[in-house]
Parts: sequence; structure tokens; C-alpha cells
Amino acid sequence: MAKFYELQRAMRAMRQSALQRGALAILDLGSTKISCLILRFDGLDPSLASDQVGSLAGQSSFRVVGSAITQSRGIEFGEISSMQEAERAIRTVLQSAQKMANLRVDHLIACFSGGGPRSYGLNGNVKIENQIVQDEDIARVLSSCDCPDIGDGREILHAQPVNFALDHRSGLVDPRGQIGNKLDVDLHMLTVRAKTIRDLAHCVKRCDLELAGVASAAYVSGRSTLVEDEQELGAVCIDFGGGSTSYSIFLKRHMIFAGSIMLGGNHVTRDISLGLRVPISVAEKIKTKNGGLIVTGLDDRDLIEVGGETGDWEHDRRTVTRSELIGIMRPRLEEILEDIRTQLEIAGFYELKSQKFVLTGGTCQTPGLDTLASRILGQQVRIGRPLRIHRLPQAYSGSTCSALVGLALFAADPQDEWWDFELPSAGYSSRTVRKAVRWLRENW
Amino acid sequence: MRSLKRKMRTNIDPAPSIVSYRLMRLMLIPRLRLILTLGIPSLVIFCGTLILFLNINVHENIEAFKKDLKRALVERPEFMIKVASVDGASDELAHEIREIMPLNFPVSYFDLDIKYLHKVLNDIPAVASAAIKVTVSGVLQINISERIPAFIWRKDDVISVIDEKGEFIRLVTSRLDYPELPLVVGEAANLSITDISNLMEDNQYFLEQVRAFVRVGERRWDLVLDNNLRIMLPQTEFLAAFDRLMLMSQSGSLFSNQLSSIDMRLVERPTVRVGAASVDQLTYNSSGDL
Ligand SMILES: Nc1ncnc2c1ncn2[C@@H]1O[C@H](COP(=O)(O)OP(=O)(O)OP(=O)(O)O)[C@@H](O)[C@H]1O
Ligand SMILES: [Mg+2]
Repeated sequence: MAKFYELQRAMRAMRQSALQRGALAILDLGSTKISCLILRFDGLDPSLASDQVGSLAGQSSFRVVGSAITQSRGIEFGEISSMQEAERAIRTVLQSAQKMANLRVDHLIACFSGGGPRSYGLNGNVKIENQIVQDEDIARVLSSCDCPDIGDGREILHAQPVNFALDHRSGLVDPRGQIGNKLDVDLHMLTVRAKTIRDLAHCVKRCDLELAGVASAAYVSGRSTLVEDEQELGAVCIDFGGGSTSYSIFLKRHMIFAGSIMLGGNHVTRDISLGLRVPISVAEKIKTKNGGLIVTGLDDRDLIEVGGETGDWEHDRRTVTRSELIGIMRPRLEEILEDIRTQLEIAGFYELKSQKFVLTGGTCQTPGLDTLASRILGQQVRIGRPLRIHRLPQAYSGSTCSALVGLALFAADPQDEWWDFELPSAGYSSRTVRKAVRWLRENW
Repeated sequence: MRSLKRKMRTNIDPAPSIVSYRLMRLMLIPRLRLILTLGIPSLVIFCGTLILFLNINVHENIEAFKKDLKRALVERPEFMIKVASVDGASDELAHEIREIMPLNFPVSYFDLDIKYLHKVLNDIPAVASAAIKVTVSGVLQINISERIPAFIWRKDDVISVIDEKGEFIRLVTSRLDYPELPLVVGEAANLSITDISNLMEDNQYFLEQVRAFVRVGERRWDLVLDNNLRIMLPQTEFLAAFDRLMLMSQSGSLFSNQLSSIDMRLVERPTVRVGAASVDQLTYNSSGDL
């Protein structure tokens, strides 16, 4: 079990040294765009500190000094499919972001939506020896969780304790210092294919940076788009990306379930391209300019020029009505939404009291998606945009960048994970880190 | 499936090369950037000035190098002058010019000091004026207009040739080198040689008989004829005096051997002197007549 943590512990150490240096790069590896921010951690900004609002939870400790975005290459379904292409794309954003920041960064935290995430709920319990719960008790109870068989070639991405219970008192956030006999923990574990992380780490290494953390795009999107109430009471954040659609369920400020389906906006584009017999780029343009999901009477008369450059006049002058376009787009998005609904049903989301749906990601800009989603998923649907963070360029404040912004929040203020608690045996940790570093070197 | 070989693709990828990426990251190291942008250039400048000031050899070497470079350019065959051709001068003068010319052929056009050469050529007494040009084929063309010898001038023992303006042409050893030229004698005779020229304009025939024109006291002229007859002309209006003499001579053989001199210094009162040898004969004749 411990072997899963070595990598994560090593990355935590990297993150620590990055914070000491005060510079960190964050990278969202999407299927359609790769975006990067350079964060500068240099304590509180005096202008913000004097502000009435006061320091926002962890967000005022950093500011964005560089940003870059590029069309992604060599990435499909949220994971790297061609190493060279992806490496070049990553290098492109890293170069322009560092140039803009005029700052050299050595550490990078990345997120991706692919890798076939699987959620597990684990629990463990342990007897408290001297009545008062202490740090090592928490470490012990975490390590007492029986790890299920996560399958070959998979890696744990997140393992967050979501709930502690002390002698039948459940819902404790921090049981330390409390008195009891038996400590229970609920742990949410998210695993992805190890190859995904390994490829990512390799690409990052080839760009002369150290990987200081990885996160699931579904999780970080949730962190940036869900407001506190939603995180507390229960909500699902659905990130409609290009190559995949991922979702994460939040309850009591913790992610309790996450998953993704391998369908996204690019499939819609491909459907349009097939249906209208136009190139992908034209289909993309038609989709973003004229796309929609709800047909009105007006749409029958709304003619869209398809255009084309084949030289065949008849072919290049074709027009379609908007309802036809909607007729192409809608089934695919219905399919995605229905898939998500089934998965949410399996996850037991519909048993929660609060059922809020927050849609984000590029595809959620399709007009009418919220209406469609409210028909398929449930009543309370809204479009989510990421939180404002300090000095974030305007271009990055749209819903396409919610994963990126969430990753910045995650980088500044990560949630406790399993590996953040030291196991009681003394002298273990430093050796582990060293071993982990060696393991990193040997493997990549 | 798309080709796995990279070169099949056109270069539309905006990605920086790994080298430029690394370079950028190197330049972002603050200390290194400072060293590279400020430290190294100032060090180079410092060292450079130090070397220049401490070791003058470097300076000399640079000069020598510059010179070499210049020579290499200057001595290209296109710029070389191989021969000189002297036109418009007598053989003797041409020879003299070749001797005197301060050039060793072949010589580069750039090394040629035309002004100096011009001066040297014009300083040769026999040269009235010299024109120099360089032709495309690498020939130094010298066009000379020579002074024409007009008189032989003897002063004490020095015999020289002068032109009609009195300009000195060259020394000669003997009067016989130019037997056809009239002889001028006397101190500063060359300065007023134009008088003689004017005189000779109209009286070419008579003046064939003149053996020498003598300048007396740097004031006036005497003409000495072949028969030793001396005609003394006045200082002023000597042309009129000479015309008068010519008129007088028409009436008789004035220029016979019997007279030793005709003094025209007072035009109204010409005086003749009879030669010593003729005096007896004259007395004899008159006594006989009388
Ligand atoms: N205005 C718009 N209307 C409709 N669709 C849009 C619009 N803008 C972008 N999209 C779609 O959003 C998708 C890109 O979304 P996003 O940038 O969130 O994906 P990604 O993060 O790159 O991919 P993934 O998260 O799946 O790896 C594209 O398929 C694009 O067609
Ligand atoms: Mg995304």
C-alpha cells in the first residue's frame, strides 16, 4: 500500500520547495487547449490585505504573473496520446508563460481529465489507545483502511479523508484533541491509469521542470466553480470538455465521488462535420457561432451558410436551417447528459438531499445546455464560472478555464490527503522521500 | 494513419525548439542574466582597453595588418601602371623626363602623386607645360609642350638657351650647338629679350647680319654686326631709332667695313665712328678728292 504514496510524497516535497522559492507553474492538460499559469507566492499583497474583504481563503497568498494558452496537440480524451507532440505543446505554453512572467519556474502542478478515473469509498477504524485523538491516531486510522484491488497499472491520484467518526459521532472534520475510544474514517480514493501520470511526468521532465503535483480536472473544476454552500450541502460539478466530460460530487467540502465519460464537445463537432459534410474547423466555427440545443419556431427560418472551399458552387453555397444544426447537436449532448445521469445514479447522488448541478467547461457555453440538463439531470442547474483569483487575465475567467483556476486554488491550498499524515514509525519519512526520489529518477 | 516521420509535416508548429527553450530558461536566472548582459560585456571592454594601453604592439600589429590589407588592395593588377608614354617632347627632353621622373614602374595608381609629378615636370626648364593622365590600360600618358629655343644667351662664360620670353631652357657648352639662333650677351639680357623679339619681327632680313645683341648696363641694347660694326640703340624708343637707322642706311652703304660703330643713342644726332684701319684710307681719299 505504501508504495502508492512514495510518488505522492515526493511530489508534496517538491511542492513545498516550490512554495519556498515562491514560484509555481500550473498546467491544465485539456484535449483542445493546454493552458498554463505562473503563480507567484510572496505573502500577502498589501493592497489586498488592507481591503475590506480581507484575505480570501488561501487565494490572496498568490498572484498570477504569467499565463499562456495554446491549442493542444497529441492529447486525446484528456490524456497524452503522442509524447512528442504533447511535449512540444507543453513547451510552447511554458515558454510563453515564463516569458510573460519574466520568471523562471522549476515546479509544475498539472491536471488532466482523462486516465479513466475511478472512485472508491474506503473506511477504516482503529481503537484509540490513550483516549485523546492525536496525529498518529489519524495516521493509523488512515492506514487501517483496507485498500481494494484497484487493478493493474493504476495509480492513486487522490485519497482524501472525507469524514471522521468518533464513537458514533459522525461528521467530524477534525477529531484531534477529542476524547473517544474508536475512530472511524471515510476515505475517498480516486485512481487513474498509471501510464497517464507517467507520460505526463515524462513530458514535464523533458521541459526541465519537476512535477510537484497532479490533480483530477473534475476535482479542481469543482473547487473553482462550486460556491461554499454547494460544496457543503452537496452538488455535482460537470466539466464539459473537448474530449471528455468529467464530473465530481462534493459534499461537506469534500469530493466524495468523481468520474468521467469519454465524450465531449469534439464529438459534437465531429457529428456536425459528418452531418453537414464540412471540415472539422468549419464545423467548430458553426457550432460555436450558431449552435444551440432548444428549437424554437424561429430556427426553421434561420439559415446558416455552411460555406466551403471545394470549388463546387452548389456544394459551397449550401445552407442549413438552425433547427437542422440543433438536430445534429442535441442527440449527442443528450447522450452525454444521460450517461452522466446513469453514472450519478450509480454513485447514489440522487439520494442526497441537495441536488445541484453546476455545468462548466467549454461545451457548457452551448446555448440551451442548462435547459437540456435540467430536463435530464435535475431541476437545479446553473452554469458555473471559475472564482476570481488575483490578477487573472480576463481571457481566463470564462468557464473553459475553470479547471485551470481550480488547479491554482488546489496548488495554493491542497486538501489533506492520506499521504500528508506521517505513519507513526519514526525515521520513516525522510527515508521514504529519498527512496521516492530515487524511484522517480529510475523510472522516468 | 499519419506519417510517423516528422519531416513529412510542414512546419506549422509554433513550439520553440528545445535549445531555444533552454536558453530562455537560462536567461531567466536573474544572476546569470546580469552576468551575461552586464558583466561579460563590461569585462570584455575593460580587458580590451587594458590590452590596448598596456601593449602598444597590438596597436602596431593592427596598423601593420591594415597596411597589408591596403597594399593587397592597392597592388591589384587593375590598378597598376606599367609604362609611361611621353608625347610632344623632343627625344632629348623625353629622355631627360624619364630620368628625372620619381617613379619605378610598375606603380599603383593609388601610390601615384600626380600633383607632385606635375610639379616635377613643370620644374624642368625645357618644359613649358605638362599634362598627365592615366589611361584605362595602365599607361601614364604625359603630354609635354616644350619651350622653343629662341636665343643663345651668353653671360660671362655661361652659355644657355632661352626661349623668346627669356625663360631659361638649358645650358649649352658651345655657341655652335645652336648655330642658327641669334646670340644675346650681357647681364640680365634675358629679362628684356622681348625687345629683341619685337625688333626681329620686322627686320628679319637685316638681322641676319647681326652677330650678337649686347645688353649694356642692363639698360640698352647694342647690336654687333658680322663686320664688327657696333650699333648702339637708345634706352627708350629704340624701335624708332632702329627705323631711323634703316632709313639712313638706304641712302648709302652705311654698314660698310669702314665704320666701327654707329651711335644712335641721340636719335636726332646719330654719330658714327670710323674704324682705325679705315681712317688712313679716308684721309687719303679726301686729300685726293680735295
Ligand atoms: N462558445 C462555445 N459554444 C459551444 N462549444 C464551445 C464553445 N467554446 C468552446 N466550445 C467547445 O468546448 C470544447 C473545449 O472545452 P474545454 O476547453 O473545456 O476542453 P478541454 O479542457 O481542452 O478538454 P478536456 O477537459 O476534455 O480535456 C471544445 O470542444 C469546443 O468546441
Ligand atoms: Mg478541461
